[in-house]
Amino acid sequence: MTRTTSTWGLRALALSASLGAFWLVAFRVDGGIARGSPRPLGARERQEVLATLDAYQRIYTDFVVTGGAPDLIDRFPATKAVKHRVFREIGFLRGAGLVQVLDLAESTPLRVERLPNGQVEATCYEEWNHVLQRAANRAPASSVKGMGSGFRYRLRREDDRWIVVAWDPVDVEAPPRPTERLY
Amino acid sequence: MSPVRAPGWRRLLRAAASGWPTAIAGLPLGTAAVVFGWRGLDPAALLQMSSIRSWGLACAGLLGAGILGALLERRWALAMGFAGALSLLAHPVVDAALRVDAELAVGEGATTPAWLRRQAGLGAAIPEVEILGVSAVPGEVLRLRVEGEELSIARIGDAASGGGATVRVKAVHPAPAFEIRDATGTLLEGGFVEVGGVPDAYIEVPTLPHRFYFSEPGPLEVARAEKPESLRLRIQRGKLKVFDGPLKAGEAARFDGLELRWADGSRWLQVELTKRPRPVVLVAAAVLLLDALVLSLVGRRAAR
Repeated sequence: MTRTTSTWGLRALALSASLGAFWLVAFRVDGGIARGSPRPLGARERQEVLATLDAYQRIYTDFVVTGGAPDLIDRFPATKAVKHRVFREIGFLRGAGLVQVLDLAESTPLRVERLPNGQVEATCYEEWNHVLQRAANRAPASSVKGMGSGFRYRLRREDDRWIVVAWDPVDVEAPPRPTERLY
Repeated sequence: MSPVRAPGWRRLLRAAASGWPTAIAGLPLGTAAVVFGWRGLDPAALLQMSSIRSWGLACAGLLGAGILGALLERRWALAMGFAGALSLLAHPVVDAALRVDAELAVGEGATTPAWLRRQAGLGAAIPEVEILGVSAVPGEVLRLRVEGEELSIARIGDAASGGGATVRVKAVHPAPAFEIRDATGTLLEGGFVEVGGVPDAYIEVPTLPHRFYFSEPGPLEVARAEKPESLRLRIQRGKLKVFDGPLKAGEAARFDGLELRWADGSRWLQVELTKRPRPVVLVAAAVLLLDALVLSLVGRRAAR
């Protein structure tokens, strides 16, 4: 009687342990698949992604405004394909004797989330001021304009840092502006 | 002396044949099948999970040991039951390894398709596809050869099977002809652009840094084959949107000293191709489990 009870007890214990261990591994290691969505982005990772996008915009602006000075190329957090795209754009304007002057007035992150393939997608609403100048004497070649648009960036982790893999314009609503006067 | 004949191994195989070790490894898989099946998770994605793989491998090993143990004890019904359970466990693995999910873009006049998406299991090969005829007019929308077998699809939304695959025409989309000219009217670039089907699709041309995002102005309708009157065009140079709006056929979109026009050119079909293995392993599992049950009942009756 005692032996039978202890055998059944052991079996029940083994069944419970197997069940517990399985679901622990399922949620800790395979959490994304088990939940049907990727592991949510932590606050620290989100901060890193936004800091990367900030560096991306600053260095991108520098490239464009200087007509393609490559000093910061190694610090530009982007893939070769994205860098190539930036310098094609600058080369097109340079071929026409022009330089684009850009200024990012405001960037509002709307959504930052991890994709099933481990990359991160960040959607921002950006407001840019821009003017064309003649490359020879920096005289204005257009009036100063402003534009607001949504942009969706895809980033991946490489060599312990985030880099921009691709980006596209995206239709999003402009975020509401603060109603109180700031001055 | 063979290791199977060693008393230690025999004891282990007998223990495996008791069914309890398999139950201990198999119960979590059973609960996972119920929970994930209820939530409608993709079985192929589940096979990527370390937990499913580890417990599945353990369960398969124990079932194999159970078969050997049962054979050693000449318990044929039990051996057959273990073999059935092993086949049942192997079914999703075999199914995932042999399935193909693909999507093709087939242009009018094209003989080879462009693959929009190709996903094949480890043991599956993407079938060879040859286009024999494409028309956007209902009657005979698509004629193609899959792995040497000729198929014909009459209407958008219809499917045909052959060459081990099922092919379905999902939609017809416009593929207008476009031209980009400079201020002097010199042609810089030209060609066809496949519009629709893929969200955020764009084209680039070799001589310009712009991206041209063409889309249909309205929502996509599956069974539509008529030509669009206008397209939405967004031209992006770097951060700047240099053109954005609807553009009618023949109208010019002016941007950065250049102009783009489009005209009705052609159409393209969005075609889905799937390959699903026959459930041979599942049928084998059912047969083995049924045989095991019958053998076990016959054995009990004989023992009485």
